[in-house]
Amino acid sequence: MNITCSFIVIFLAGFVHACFQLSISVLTMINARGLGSKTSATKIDTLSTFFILGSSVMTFLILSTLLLTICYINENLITALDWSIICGLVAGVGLAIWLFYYRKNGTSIWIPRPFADFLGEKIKIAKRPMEAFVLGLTTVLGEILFVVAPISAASLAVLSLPSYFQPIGMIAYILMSSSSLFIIWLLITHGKSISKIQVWRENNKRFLQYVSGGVLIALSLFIFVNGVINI
Amino acid sequence: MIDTIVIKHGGKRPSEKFDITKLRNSILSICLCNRKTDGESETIAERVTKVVMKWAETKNEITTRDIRIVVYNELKKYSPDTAYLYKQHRAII
Repeated sequence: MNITCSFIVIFLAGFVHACFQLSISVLTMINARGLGSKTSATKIDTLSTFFILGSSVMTFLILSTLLLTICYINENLITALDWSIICGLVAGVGLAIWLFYYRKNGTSIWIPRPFADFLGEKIKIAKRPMEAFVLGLTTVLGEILFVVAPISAASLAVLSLPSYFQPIGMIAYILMSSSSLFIIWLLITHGKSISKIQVWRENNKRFLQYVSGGVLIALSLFIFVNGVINI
Repeated sequence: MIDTIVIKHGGKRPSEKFDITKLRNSILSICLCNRKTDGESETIAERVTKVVMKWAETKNEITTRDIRIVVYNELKKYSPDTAYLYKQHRAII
């Protein structure tokens, strides 16, 4: 796979990751909780910053772990078999997203309910930046079932880049995947009400589900053409 | 405090006496989180709480779900946005 194709895979994977909703929900709840309990704007901003930082760090850690594992298994050589495994995984998760991603009510997603309750409890007690940071780390892990596909595709694309481009590829993925969190954070800090954000998210949830699943399936086709059969 | 008993949703937590302060604080908090001013939030919380108290006084037992429905319907008259958030805030995650 050439450099351009690798970056296309990284950007598409990052875009799909950004469409996933658990981190956005948790960030919305942190802000809602802060505003509701008359917490100062500076403190809410700090909590949001640390939450986004935690989420980005966990994305970086998962991406690095996958890179290292693939390097270790393949001894730095990417074969068509690797691409075909990722291609299958990405297509499978894309279909799963079309079928399962959201629950009926609100914007709650298909994750184990005890874990969602656990997150809800932790949001209530998160008052220090470090707690928000850990919440960010945990949230990405909570969505791992869905996140694993775009991160795997991105890690293989990063590995297929020349070594001097690899850090750029990783940073691009992390920035792209965190972009939705930055947007929500900016909207809230600029005075957008939580209910308006929530109404938009709920009205467009099926569209977002369709887009994330669709882009993953398109990504799997792209990987199939450029990585597996290498036209 | 009135003598009405509140049965918790799911039955996991024990029932408790209806606490109007708790309800008022939750309405106040949801108004504030929807960027209503302090004064506006206080007024809405006061008005909604009064209606809920009047409704609860006539009952021996109520469920948290009943309270949520009454609060939602009342809140909708003053601020539909806030009512929506009150109804949905448990379904965000």
